[in-house]
Amino acid sequence: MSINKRFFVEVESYELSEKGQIVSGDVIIQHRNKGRVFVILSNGNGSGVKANIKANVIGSMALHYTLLDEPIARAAQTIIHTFANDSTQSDSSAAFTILDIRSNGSVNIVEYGNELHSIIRDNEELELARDTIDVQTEYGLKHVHTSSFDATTEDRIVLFSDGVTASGNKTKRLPEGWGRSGVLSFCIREIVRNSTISAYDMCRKVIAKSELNDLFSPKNDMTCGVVYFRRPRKILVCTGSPYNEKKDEILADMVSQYEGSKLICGGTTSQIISRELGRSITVELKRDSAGLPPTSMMSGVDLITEGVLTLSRVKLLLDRNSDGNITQTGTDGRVARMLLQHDIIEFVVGTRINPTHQDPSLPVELELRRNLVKDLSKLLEKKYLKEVKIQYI
Amino acid sequence: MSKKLSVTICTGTLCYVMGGAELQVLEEHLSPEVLDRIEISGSPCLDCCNQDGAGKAPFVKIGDQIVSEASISKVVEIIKKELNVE
Repeated sequence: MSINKRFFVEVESYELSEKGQIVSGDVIIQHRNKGRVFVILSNGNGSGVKANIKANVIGSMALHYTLLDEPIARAAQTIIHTFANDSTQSDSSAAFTILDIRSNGSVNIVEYGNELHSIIRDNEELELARDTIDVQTEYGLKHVHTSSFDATTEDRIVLFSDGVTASGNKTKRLPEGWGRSGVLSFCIREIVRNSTISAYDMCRKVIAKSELNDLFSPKNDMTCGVVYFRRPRKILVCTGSPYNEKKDEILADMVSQYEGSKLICGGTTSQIISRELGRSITVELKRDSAGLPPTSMMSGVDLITEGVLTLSRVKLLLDRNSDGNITQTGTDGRVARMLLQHDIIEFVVGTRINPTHQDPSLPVELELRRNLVKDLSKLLEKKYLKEVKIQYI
Repeated sequence: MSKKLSVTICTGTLCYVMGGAELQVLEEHLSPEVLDRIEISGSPCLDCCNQDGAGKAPFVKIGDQIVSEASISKVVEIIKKELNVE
């Protein structure tokens, strides 16, 4: 079964650096490749720039060994050999956790030195049998733990660094620190309160609580990553008229039968769908703060906008944005927010070229629709990790 | 009460970039008496730009008449003429 049909793997992380440090020594790397999702939590032992660089290198090594399906013992041996050379020689000096999530839902977990992950299913911890691989290194025998399970919809995996479990340590309320069980109970309470809490919100809540435990002065780097196997949120984006008029009906059927949000970007496209479905369009004649043509409404469709100008501006906005937080109030901001709120974005691109758009005296913003959608899709896939499909009609 | 004169502004891409953007504030250029007798609406695309002989964008439809190269002053003039007002 394809990952698209069963669930979408939402991965989010959040971190806070130890008080006084500008960067964290824990790093979470996520990578998507051909339906597989990789999440790595690595620890560079300590805080600050040096630890951050070390953690990034460990994370990158762990990711690339996994991508190449190298035996984990070999990967662990190399990482430990390379980095576990500090005076303490403790396991946490080159700690890493690797989640390798395949498109059929099978998850392989490899852990070394880090706090053990937690899997939450049906408001309880799913405890896994862990195998141990002994890795002989120049610092003695090291133990790498591996486990695996088949994920189902609504499962969550929570990863956290020792700064989270140790938070509150030596305070009156939590003299032993928050602890793994404390973090786990907190996550379960949050899920009971809101069963569809996103990975984005969950990791922020965990870190906010850790910060509170340390009385708002983090004694260590705090990092939390959450993987949420959720029902995918889908959006259909129709732009452009079909090449062949006989396909108009097919396009309209796609819109009427789609299960998810619907966005139409194109005046003529919306007219075709309106005609085929017998639904009227109301244009909201008012000035747009982004200076784009007005939006329209049709029953059963979430939003109708103009086509190429709007999509060009959406592309520009998404390209320049750095944190996924879109605050612009214009149509471009509205469309960008809509796209980012969904996991699977399905473009249906009509390939009929409007000859009047090809006049060389027109503004250069009038790009070819096909290229524009292709660029926008790449951006959504690479930068915002969305699953994007393009269908030409 | 007599039927209102319909004024439909094309908000399609071509019309918009060719100057149609300013037509959205058409209302502000008309007196309350005229506004009482017309109904301004928008259309995602009037599909005039693809028709030979229809003229150049931007387009506005006033009653049954298609106005090409529409500007605020041109549209106001035609509306007044249709309504027989000065």
